[in-house]
Amino acid sequence: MSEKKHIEEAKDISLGYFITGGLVLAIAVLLGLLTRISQTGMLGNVPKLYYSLMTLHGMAAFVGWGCFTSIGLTWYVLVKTLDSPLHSPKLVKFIYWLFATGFVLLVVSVLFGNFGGSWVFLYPIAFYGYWDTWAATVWTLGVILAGVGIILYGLEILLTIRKAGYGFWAALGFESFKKDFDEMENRVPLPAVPFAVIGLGMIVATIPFAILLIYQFLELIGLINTRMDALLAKNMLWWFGHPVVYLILFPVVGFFYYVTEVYAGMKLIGERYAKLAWALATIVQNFIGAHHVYNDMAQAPWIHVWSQLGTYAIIIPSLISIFSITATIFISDFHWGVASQYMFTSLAFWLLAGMSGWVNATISLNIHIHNTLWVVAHFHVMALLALSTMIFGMGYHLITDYTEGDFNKNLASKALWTYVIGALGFTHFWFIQGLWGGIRRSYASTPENLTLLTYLSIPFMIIAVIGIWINVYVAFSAAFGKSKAAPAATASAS
Amino acid sequence: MSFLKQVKMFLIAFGGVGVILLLRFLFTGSTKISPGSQNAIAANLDESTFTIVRLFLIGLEFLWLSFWAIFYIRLSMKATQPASEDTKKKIEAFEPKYFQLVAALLVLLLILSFAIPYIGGDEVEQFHNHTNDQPFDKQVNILAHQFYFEFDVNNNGTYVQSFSKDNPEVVLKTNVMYLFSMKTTDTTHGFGLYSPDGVLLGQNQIVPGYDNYYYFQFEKPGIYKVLCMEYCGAGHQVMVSYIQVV
Repeated sequence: MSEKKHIEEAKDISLGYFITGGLVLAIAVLLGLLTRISQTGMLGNVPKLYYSLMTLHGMAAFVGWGCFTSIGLTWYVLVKTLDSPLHSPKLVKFIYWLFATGFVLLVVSVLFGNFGGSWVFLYPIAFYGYWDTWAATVWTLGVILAGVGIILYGLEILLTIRKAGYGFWAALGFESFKKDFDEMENRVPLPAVPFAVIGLGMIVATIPFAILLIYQFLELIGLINTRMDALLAKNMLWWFGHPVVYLILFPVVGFFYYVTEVYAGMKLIGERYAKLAWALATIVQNFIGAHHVYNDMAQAPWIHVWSQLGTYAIIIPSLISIFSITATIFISDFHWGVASQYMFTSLAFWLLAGMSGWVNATISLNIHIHNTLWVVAHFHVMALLALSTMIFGMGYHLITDYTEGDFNKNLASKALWTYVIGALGFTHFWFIQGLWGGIRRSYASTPENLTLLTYLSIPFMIIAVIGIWINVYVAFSAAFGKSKAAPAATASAS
Repeated sequence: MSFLKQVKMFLIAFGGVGVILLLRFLFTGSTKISPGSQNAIAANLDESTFTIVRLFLIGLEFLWLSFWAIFYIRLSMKATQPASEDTKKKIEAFEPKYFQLVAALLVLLLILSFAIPYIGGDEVEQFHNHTNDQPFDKQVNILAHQFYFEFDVNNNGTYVQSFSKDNPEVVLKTNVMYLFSMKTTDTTHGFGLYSPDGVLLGQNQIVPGYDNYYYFQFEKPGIYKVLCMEYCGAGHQVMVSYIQVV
């Protein structure tokens, strides 16, 4: 009975996070559409509007959608895969309210204070903007709250795995080095490993960023009058700024493992090599953020070389995981449902996003595309087509479990193709504009002679927005559409 | 009150207030700025812009599409029947070989990525811009501000802005190795150098508090363009200057 209770509690919590993320995504994509439309001049000559919208769109998509959903669905997958309760459901709910409060502050900072420093707010731009100091202060405070939430998320994962009786190093994949690995009976379930890796990674990576944020906050309120070294600040930002992408990506790999095992009805093949790759990721994940500063020639070149080596190394877990998942689907009697359809789509685009990311990670190619629209295309393919499809897939699996399969599956399947066609269309105009030197984060549509592509991308964006809104509608209807006095205890698919 | 009910109430409140705030922002929250006459960004697309890099990147996508098309067709033909025990064993046995293959491929790509710029010979060697101790013929100092560049072509403290595309004040020569030494007076900017036909030739971040270097030798005459490559505020898009190369 108690087992049933902790699963029910995890379902409620995960669903709460998921639908919050869904609502924020519905707003974030609308802001993104408005941002792109404003580049055409249809809204007048409004660069400040463009930059503020761009800032809120980025943070809403990342903190709002990405963090709420990847963090939220983590709890359900951990409880199910470990077959053990969360370490502290109260802490998990507290993390939700930290993110919620932080996000409200970010919204107020932009919509009331016109903050527009971009979502990376590269130090010291907070002090050189068209916004008031209070807006930058509120923004910084909002990000600090989200940062605290991320550190607590990492702690809760590690403590939950510990509570389930597994060792720290084993959970990070290091048990793959043991000679008797294949004979070990109490191995850590593979879907839990990416969560442990990112849990540790986030605790380590968030600390330098938190120091930067607190410094900026104290400077904004006048308690510190000395400017920080800008290059050091940039490294502190990206030390966190790249691993924080893994805050979404690694849990998504955990969702992949979990959903594949459920719908294939078998354990993933290649567990040992997948764990070996995760052990490697544990080590290198915190030392690759400097690949975002390849064009900062003030930085020592060895840091760039090291970053490229580390980034190449971290491709290995992705390629091993794609192989294990693809091979498992191929050899199993795979069950095709809404969740697995989304998962398979995500799998295909993961590789595309990864390939464009490899270009960014290579010093000799990066100089051609850094800060161009190519990068924008890369992370939108990654965020929308690779990560969000899997997040929706995982969300639909949770909804299947929560509603006993009683939700609008037909509409959910249609929404997948609507938003994939839309997102695939509009991102590819960015790829082209970027390859021809079009600059990202610029109100001007560049290169000027390809401005037509900016116009052409808008109908595709509208299609993508409609697809996402349908998804969010289906999720909301499932969560709040009916009374759930006695929700189902087990997954219908499992 | 259950967690889900709390979430529902929060979302209703947040959604309602959020819509009002957004409407207010869209209609009144933004003041227009006048970007001046420098926001015309010209890039003439011609055949020469189809560089090997671009073709390579476009080719990658076709590879990706082909891979998934083949896999999907194969999967459809299999009609979700579980594979035979033999196939399962073969695929599992392939895993270690695949791991080695992936590692070997990445090492190969790594070596190539560092070697290609040196083999090509016509690009600035990728790590030379970190210092100012490489051989050069002439130094050009650049100051970046919100929202314009200033150029000191003769290294004597006299700066010009060179906004005009038709008649740039900065005139440089072909076959001279220039060292561009750049500083910023406010926030981080970027230096992006575009060829007359619109190709992004190279770039460098201009970080506050540092001297930032970029070596370049112009091979052909024409009007080159300099754009800011890092978001620096409301006038980022108007940071455009021109260099005439003779």
